[in-house]
Amino acid sequence: MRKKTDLGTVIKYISLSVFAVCCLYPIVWLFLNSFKDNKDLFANPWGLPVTYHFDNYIRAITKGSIGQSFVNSIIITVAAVFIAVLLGSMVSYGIARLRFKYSLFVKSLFLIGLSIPAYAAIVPLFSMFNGMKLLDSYTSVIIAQVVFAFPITVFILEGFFSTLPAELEEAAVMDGCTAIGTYFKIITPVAKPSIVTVAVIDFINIWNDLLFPQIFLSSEKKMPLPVALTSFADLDSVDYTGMLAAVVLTIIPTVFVYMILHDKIMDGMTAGAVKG
Amino acid sequence: MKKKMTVLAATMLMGALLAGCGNSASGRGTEAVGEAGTKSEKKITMSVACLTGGNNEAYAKLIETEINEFNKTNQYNVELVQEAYSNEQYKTKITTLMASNAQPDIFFTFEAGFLKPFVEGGKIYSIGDAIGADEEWSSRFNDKSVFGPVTFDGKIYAVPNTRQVVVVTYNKKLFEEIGVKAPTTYDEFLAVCEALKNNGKTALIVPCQEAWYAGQLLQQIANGIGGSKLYEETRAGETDWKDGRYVQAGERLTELVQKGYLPEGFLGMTPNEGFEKFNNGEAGMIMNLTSAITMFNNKDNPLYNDIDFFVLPAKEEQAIGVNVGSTGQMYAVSSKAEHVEAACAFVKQLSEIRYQQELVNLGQVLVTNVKVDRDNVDAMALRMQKVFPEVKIYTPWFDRIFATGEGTEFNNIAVAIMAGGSPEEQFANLQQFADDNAER
Amino acid sequence: MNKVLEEKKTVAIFVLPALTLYILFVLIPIIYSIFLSFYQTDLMNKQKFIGLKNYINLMNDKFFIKAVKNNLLLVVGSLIAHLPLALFFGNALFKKIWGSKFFQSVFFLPSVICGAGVGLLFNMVYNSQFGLVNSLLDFLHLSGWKHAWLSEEKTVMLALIVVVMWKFVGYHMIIQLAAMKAIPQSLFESARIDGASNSQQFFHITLPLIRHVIKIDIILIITGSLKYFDLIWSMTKGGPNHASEVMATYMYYQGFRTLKFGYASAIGAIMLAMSMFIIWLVNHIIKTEKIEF
Repeated sequence: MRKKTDLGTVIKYISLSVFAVCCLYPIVWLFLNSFKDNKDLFANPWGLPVTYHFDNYIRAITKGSIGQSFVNSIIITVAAVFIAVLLGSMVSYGIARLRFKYSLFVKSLFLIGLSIPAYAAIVPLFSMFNGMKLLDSYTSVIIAQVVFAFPITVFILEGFFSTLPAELEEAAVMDGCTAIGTYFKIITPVAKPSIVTVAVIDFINIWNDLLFPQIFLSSEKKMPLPVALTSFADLDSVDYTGMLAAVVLTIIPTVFVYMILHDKIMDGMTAGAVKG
Repeated sequence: MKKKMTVLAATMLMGALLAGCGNSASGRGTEAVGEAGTKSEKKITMSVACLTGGNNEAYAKLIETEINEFNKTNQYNVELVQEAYSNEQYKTKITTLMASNAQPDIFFTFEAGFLKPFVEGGKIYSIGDAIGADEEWSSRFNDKSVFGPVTFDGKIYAVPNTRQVVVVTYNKKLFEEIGVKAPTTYDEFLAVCEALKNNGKTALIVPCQEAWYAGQLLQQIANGIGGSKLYEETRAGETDWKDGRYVQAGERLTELVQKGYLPEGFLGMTPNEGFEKFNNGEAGMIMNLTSAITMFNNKDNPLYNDIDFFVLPAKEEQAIGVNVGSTGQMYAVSSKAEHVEAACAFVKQLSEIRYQQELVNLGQVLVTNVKVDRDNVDAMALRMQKVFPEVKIYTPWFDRIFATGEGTEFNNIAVAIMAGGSPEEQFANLQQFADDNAER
Repeated sequence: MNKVLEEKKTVAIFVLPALTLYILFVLIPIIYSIFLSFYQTDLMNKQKFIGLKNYINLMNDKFFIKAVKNNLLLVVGSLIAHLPLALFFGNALFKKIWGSKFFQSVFFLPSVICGAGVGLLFNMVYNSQFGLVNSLLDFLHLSGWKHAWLSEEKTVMLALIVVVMWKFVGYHMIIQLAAMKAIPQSLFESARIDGASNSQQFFHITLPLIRHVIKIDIILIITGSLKYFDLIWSMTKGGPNHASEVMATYMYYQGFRTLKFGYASAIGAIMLAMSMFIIWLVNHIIKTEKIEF
């Protein structure tokens, strides 16, 4: 096909590169400045560090007890994303493909959730977890994260499932598959790009969430990363550079997860191509 | 069918929730029923909530030490567990806990309007009863007026440990270089500002990124004009914000800005930037709380020996000695604490020598008469403590007194005035807000 | 078609687990919150039924009106950045071009940084003394345009909207890109054989076929903008003097900072009503039928 470098391609690359710089520069800035000391940061915020202070990272790790918080974050996020995506994709499939009287009503119930800010529900939720003796447990945070991840999960996946051709299931059911079997063997592989997208979105939201763990947990040993970071992030905090180091430490896993899952999205694409 | 079941379950839960908001039990330490004196085998666990992060980290460490000591030595078979939160999160957390009736057993509190709704909601044990019953404890507080801001309907609900006032921190060396000294009248203060400006220095730093820095300056100027009378009238609702004395204070504030005494970009300046600038010798003065001494008294600070303090002089003579300030490091006990006696014992322990000595070492001013050793106390802290005798009447911050929004708006209009707004208009806005707010 | 997909038991297995959890932990708290909006309450001592008074007071609350206006600005800004711009980048990267994977990852980066990090960063960028924006203006000899961006009532909202626009371009691009990738390649191949240009392919194949996702994304953008909270709270807390207040920050402020939970709940209820109205509107304007490839 056309291999000539035309003007369109040039413009495309220029705009892509400009925006890439806009996105990368802040990360580079965070990274470089995480090695400065407070004085250097204020005196020279846009240059290279004069001397490299690795102790910022040591402080971030010891003071924020980053190790333990990291494990907590993983436990909460992995469990919540798994449950939210599993149950969320099933209910999306149910709404989009199974025929039942109230499917539209159920769908709108989940849609309502898109417009609900989580802190509107925080006081009643706290009372409920208190009554259920779930406070200060991972369970309470995981439940809250899962239910508040449902709306966006359902919203995206329901949209996707409703575009699938009906022949897919018909063939499977004809072969004697149960609905569950059809779902996991036929539908899920086809829906992979969308499911992975949703998982990534849920992951970011839950990984960075501060509100639920802060309110529902009380022992320091159970707090996830964003809470640990707040000991640096407070307004009257003096340790900017320690905080920068801590921020860098929290970004790494998200970027890492994204990089891994990005390939899965690519795989999903090929699966889609086979189907077409 | 399933639908009906869900709806039914939901309704029941809803009912339980609504009913439960008033009286559901705390989630912690449910197994322990032990009253004081009964020999329960099970250890009772109680929580101590406090602030950490930034300046507060040092104080959180002290509380940690006290908790460890208490756990080792107490006779109540009680174990305390610390929960520390940064300032912003603490306010959200404590509100949620209170609203769900699951407040921590012992907790850090601010005075006045912050504590009041919790007291009225029956969440707080009136610790004054315990102090009253304990001669030794009571005798540690010579000046009972320190309990003023935590007293409601004649009962004391929290125990303070320090005093704080708003001071002007100044660079003595710079003052000497340009031939001025710490002012004793407001006019002298303006003259000092002028001299600093004429020598190419920033006169006064007020980092308005945090609106309460502007608010406390405005409140202090108003104190210097209306004295304690204006303050009392305001608290009692006998005057309103449109009062000419407030407008006059606003005009004084405008004057400071218009004459160019504040640094460039002060509106967006964070407190940290402000302290940094001051420590770099770029400015003659900065207005701050005495507890912020930790921002100056680093031994590496080249200005360490040159930093001194004064209180902002009053404009009117009858208003001398009225200063924005209050008590700090206050602790309260939950009315639902599982072992009230033990909780009180912990709060009492804080007024003993070890904790008090540590507070002094951090440069704090005590409210007790505990004999502390001042030999190791930071020299700058000793200089700072000299301003305290000058303060006769403490007026706590308006954002603590009017905690339901009015105080915050006071700070906001202070910033708005400094940004060029008309004082008269801004105070009229504030009064309008106060009227509307009462109904919300 | 057939019975398997209609069986009550099947429906129950797929729908009930999520639905039950959702009703219990999201809908019931929300209903409770709407119930509270008819009260004047601090959830402790005060509890007075006042009917619609909270709603009437809100209509006369200039900070709330300001917040609504700011939310609408945020909606407009987000729609511009997260539809045309994200679609442009998505379409550019959807083709197998050199560096596609690199650009995708890079564009996505801003949306993974936690609020505190972004807040700290942009406080530096907008700093009136040494901030990047003001330095740039100095460099371009436009010193007259310099501002204390985040602390002046006139500029703060503009400054914040730019950050929100920047942060989520990659996020929406990924959603749109995932939809594009579900389009069978064969359609593009035959179009190319027929001599369709890149832009023709985009407007006649890609866009119509990802219509449903665009609709979903529009709803996400708008509802997201209406309840937006994180970044604004971590950067300005709605200040100075409520100039960058949005409904969510104002609600949070009224509830958790001044203990007016009834009033705060009324703000929540209005947010909910506005979002639902917009969802309804979008659904009616953009009709999508099920697309079968």
